[in-house]
Amino acid sequence: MQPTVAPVAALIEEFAKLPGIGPKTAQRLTFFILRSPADQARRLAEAITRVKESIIQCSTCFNITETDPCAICSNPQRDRGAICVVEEPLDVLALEKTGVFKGLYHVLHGALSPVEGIGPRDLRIDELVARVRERAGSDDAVREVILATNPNYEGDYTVAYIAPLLAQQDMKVTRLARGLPIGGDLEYADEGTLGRALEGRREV
Amino acid sequence: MYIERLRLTDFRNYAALDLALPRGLVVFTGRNAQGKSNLLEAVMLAATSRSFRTTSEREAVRWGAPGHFARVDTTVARRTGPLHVEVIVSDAGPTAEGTPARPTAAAADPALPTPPPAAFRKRVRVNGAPRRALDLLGLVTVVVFAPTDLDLVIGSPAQRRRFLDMTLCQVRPAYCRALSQYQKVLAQRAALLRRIKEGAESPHALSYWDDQLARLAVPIMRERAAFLRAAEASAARVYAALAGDDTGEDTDDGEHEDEDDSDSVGHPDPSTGLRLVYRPAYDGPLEGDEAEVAAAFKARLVELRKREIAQGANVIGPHRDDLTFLSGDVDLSAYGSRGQQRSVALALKLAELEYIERETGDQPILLLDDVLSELDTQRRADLLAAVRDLDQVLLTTTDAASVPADALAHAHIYRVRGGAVRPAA
Ligand SMILES: Nc1ncnc2c1ncn2[C@@H]1O[C@H](COP(=O)(O)OP(=O)(O)O)[C@@H](O)[C@H]1O
Ligand SMILES: [Mg+2]
Ligand SMILES: [Zn+2]
Repeated sequence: MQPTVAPVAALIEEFAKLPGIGPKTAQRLTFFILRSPADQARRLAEAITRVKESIIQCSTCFNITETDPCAICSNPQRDRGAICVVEEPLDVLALEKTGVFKGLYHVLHGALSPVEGIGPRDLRIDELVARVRERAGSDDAVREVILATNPNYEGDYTVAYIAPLLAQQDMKVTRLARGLPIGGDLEYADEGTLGRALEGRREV
Repeated sequence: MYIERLRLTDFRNYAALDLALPRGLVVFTGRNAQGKSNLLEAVMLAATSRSFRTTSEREAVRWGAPGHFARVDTTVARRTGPLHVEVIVSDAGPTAEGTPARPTAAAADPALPTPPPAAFRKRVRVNGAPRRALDLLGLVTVVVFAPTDLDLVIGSPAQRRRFLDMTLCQVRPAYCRALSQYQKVLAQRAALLRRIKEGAESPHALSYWDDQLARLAVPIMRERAAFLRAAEASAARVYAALAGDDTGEDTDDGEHEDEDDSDSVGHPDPSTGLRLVYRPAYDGPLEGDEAEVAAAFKARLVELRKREIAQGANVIGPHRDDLTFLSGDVDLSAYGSRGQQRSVALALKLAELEYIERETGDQPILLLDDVLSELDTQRRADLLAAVRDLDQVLLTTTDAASVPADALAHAHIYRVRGGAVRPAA
């Protein structure tokens, strides 16, 4: 084993804190950066800093944004009667690319997973229920909530948990059609598949 | 089906091997630790993407192999057409996919240490196209019989469940998929039970996981029950033939002290045969409409709720199943002689073989790893007579003389020495 210099050890430690990155991968990433040109490393450092300084969460939909409310929530052209519920901000990007959905979003920031210790309190579920209830009966009452979680057990369980909480008159709760591969992630689904899944959504 | 060609690169003690294999009985002889079992392991890996001797296939990479990967490449002749299967296991290597590419050489500083190895990967190609390991199962079928298979009879329930799963996964891809989903559901449900116990979640949350558990557990249990029903007749036939040879001068390995005991319990009459009895942890009825069976399973989960929460564990389901081997009323796992237990293990393997052939319409390849030394002369003859019509039997032994003479007469013999294989003159 090589003697590890303090800055190298520090970077390995920081990488290892990232999700899905174990100590081995953290070491590999660190060595990769050590071997890359200086300006490449600087761009990475700046991108990380900028993300933290300028990105916040929208107080309505909890998507990541530079302004609050976010560009989608404040866009008068969007259909306020439809809310698409997703696990991650990246899923919003994927769905926007399909161009099929014209409504608003709600980002849960995860899916329920007992194994990972993620329960209802850890997600933006109460906020979703409040958001829908508040507007009931008003001009921009929600007509449809689309639960667009990932097609895996965690996503499915999240749908099963949320759907009954939303049940109310004059509102449909739907979920994406199963065109999506089992065990897949929304953000990796191609635009065609995702578009079809949206169009073929079913009531829960 | 049979293996026509086996090519190995940096697999165990084989740096490079290219071996054409004939149909019929193939005998690999050689002294210990020369690489005989490694050949069978390679065939098993190509058929199932798993090894029969280790849980971590990365161990199969030849020590010191410069590329940090092992490749098993086989051509298989099947009734439904030939197949080319390639399995690569990697224990390391910056070239493995998913690893960041090396920066340009100009930027690399030779004074810096080389990056540590990438995480382990396994890659499968069928006829040149990448496949998931799960999708390999069933294309090439194998039945392995090794001395450790005595554990099927005297070992833990987990070993008997593995036998059921290995057989059924090769025959029914849907079983395998259900099993892999079932593992995920079990893990989530166990975690949820613990969270409920700690007061972090409400018991209502269980209903979703009860649905999933029942939906997957029922077809798994029914497949297991159906397999055992179907396999029982052939197992009983083989057992009756073998048990009849139990002369008492059986291969004595000094583990027979309790033979008198077993006699006092009532030495089973060989003619009472062998019964394979499925012992599911869920004891409700499995026959009938699948949805109704699942509903009854769910109802049982509700009855067990308190206990499951207190234990923080899944109490019923295929992960707790077992099976017992009865001759008359005698449980052979507990009271059989060692000779009888060996006969049960062998009968199970031959029944597995028949079942796979019946269900898939093609004969699995039989891998016999060092089993002759464990059997008496009569059992050796019976075994080789029972498998003489198979497309291919790959057998390892340190002593070619242990192969019964009439089988040896039509066998193809290869000598294995230090990771090289040559036809015997
Ligand atoms: N990963 C490996 N790399 C190199 N040699 C290995 C590896 N794993 C096992 N071996 C060697 O393989 C030999 C055992 O081969 P095996 O097929 O089990 O022998 P046998 O002929 O007795 O069946 C031993 O010499 C062992 O050192
Ligand atoms: Mg061996
Ligand atoms: Zn917003």
